[in-house]
Amino acid sequence: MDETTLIQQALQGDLDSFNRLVLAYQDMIFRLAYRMLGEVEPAEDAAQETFIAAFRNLRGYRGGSFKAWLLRIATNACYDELRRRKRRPTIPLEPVDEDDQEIESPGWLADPGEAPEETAARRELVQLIQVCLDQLPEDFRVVVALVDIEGLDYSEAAQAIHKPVGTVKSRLARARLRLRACLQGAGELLPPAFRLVGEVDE
Amino acid sequence: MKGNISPRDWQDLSAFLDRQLNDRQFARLEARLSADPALQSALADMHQMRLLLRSQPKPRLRRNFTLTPEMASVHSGMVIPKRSSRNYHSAAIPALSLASAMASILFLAVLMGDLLIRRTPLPAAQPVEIMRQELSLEAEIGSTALETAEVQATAVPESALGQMAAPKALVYPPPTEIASPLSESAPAAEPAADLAQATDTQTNARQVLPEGGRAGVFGMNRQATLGLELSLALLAVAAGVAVIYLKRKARQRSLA
Repeated sequence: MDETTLIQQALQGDLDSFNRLVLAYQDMIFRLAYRMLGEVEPAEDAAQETFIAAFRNLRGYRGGSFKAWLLRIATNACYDELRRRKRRPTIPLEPVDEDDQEIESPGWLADPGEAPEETAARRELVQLIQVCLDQLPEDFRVVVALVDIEGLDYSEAAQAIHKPVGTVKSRLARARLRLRACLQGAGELLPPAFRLVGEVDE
Repeated sequence: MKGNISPRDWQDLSAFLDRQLNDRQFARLEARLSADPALQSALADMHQMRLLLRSQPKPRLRRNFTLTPEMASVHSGMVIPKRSSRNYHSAAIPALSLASAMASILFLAVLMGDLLIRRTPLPAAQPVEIMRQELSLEAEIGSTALETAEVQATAVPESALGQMAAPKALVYPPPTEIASPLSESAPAAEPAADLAQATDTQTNARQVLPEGGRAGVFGMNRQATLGLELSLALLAVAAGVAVIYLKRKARQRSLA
C-alpha cells in the first residue's frame, strides 16, 4: 500500500494505517531528535510527541513530502524541548544511572564486532561529534542533522525547517565551518583515520 | 592560504559538495578549484568532515513509536466526531452571523433613508399645491352636501329639521379639522350624515399625505418606519448575542 493511501485511511481514523507510516519513519525521526537533543530518552519523548502531534494534525497535511512534513513537526518538538531545557538549571550531557553516576558505556553504543580499542575510539568520536553538534546554534544543528546525517537534499531540508533553500545553504556552510573548527580543536581525540588535514582558519 | 577563502567561497564549496550548484556556478567553481590549491584543500576538509558525520553509527531504537488507541483518543481531536445537538448549535453560528449582518445593514439603510427623507426640504410650491388640493376637495364636498340638503329640505318638515340640528353639533369635528372658508359657507341645516361623510372623506384625503405631505421609507408612514427600524435593530442585536454565546460555548467545549 502506498503512502498516499495510508494517509487517506489514517485521515478517516484508521490507526493501523497511521502506525504503518510511523514504522516507516520512526528511525529517521528518532535520529533527528537524538542529534538535536543529544540524549536518548528526551529524543524518544520527542519522537513520540512528533507522531502524536502528526496524528492529531493530519488534516493540516496539504500534500507534498510527507517526510518533510513529519520532520518539521519533529524539529518543532525538539525546539520545544530545548526551550524547556533552557528554563531548567542543568542537564547532564552524559547518561547517568540511578545514583547520578555517569554511565561509561551506554549499551546502545556498544558494537560487539569491534575490538575494545576500536570501540573506545569510535565512542570517543561519537561523543566528540555530539559535543560539537551541541555547541552549534539550534538552527545550524538541525540543518546539519537533516542534510549531513539524514542525507536530505536542500529543498527537503528547507521544507522541513520551513525556510528558503538559500537559508539552508547558508546555514549549512556556516555550520560545517564551525564543526570543522570544533573537531580540529580536539584533534588528538580524533582517530587518525578521521583527522582533518587542514588548519583552523575561521 | 585558506585565510583568503571568503564566507561566500565556503558556501559555494559546501553547496558544491552537495551538488546543489547550478551548471554555471558549478563550472565556475570547478575552474577556480583547478587553479587554487587553497580552495582544493578547503574542499577536501569539508568533504572529510561530511564523511565523518555520515559515518556516525545510527542510534538504535529501543522501542517503537506506534500509537495505541488510548494515545490516539486522548491526544487526537481528529477521531470522527458524533453529530450531536452541540454540533448543530455550532452549525447555526454562520446562519446567525449572516442574519445579524443583514439585519444591521437593513437597519442602517432604513435609518439613513428615513433621515434623508425627513431632512430633505420640500419644494416651495408643494404646500401651496396641497392646500389647493384640499380646498378644491372641500369645495366639492361642500357643494355635494348643499345639493343633498336642498333635496331633503323639500321633503322633510321643519320640526324634523329642528330635531336634526341638535346632533349636528355632536358630530362636527373640531374646528381646526374642518375650519375653512368653504365649510363655513355650507348651510347650517345640512344633514348630520352628510357632514360625517364629508369629514371622513376629508380625513382620508389627509391620510394620503402624512406628516406635512410626505411619505416615509418604502412609502410607509412614520409609525411603520419606526417599527421596522426597531425590529431590525432587535434582530441584529439578538442574532449577534446568540453568535457570541454559541462561539463561547464552542470554545469552552474545545478546551475541555
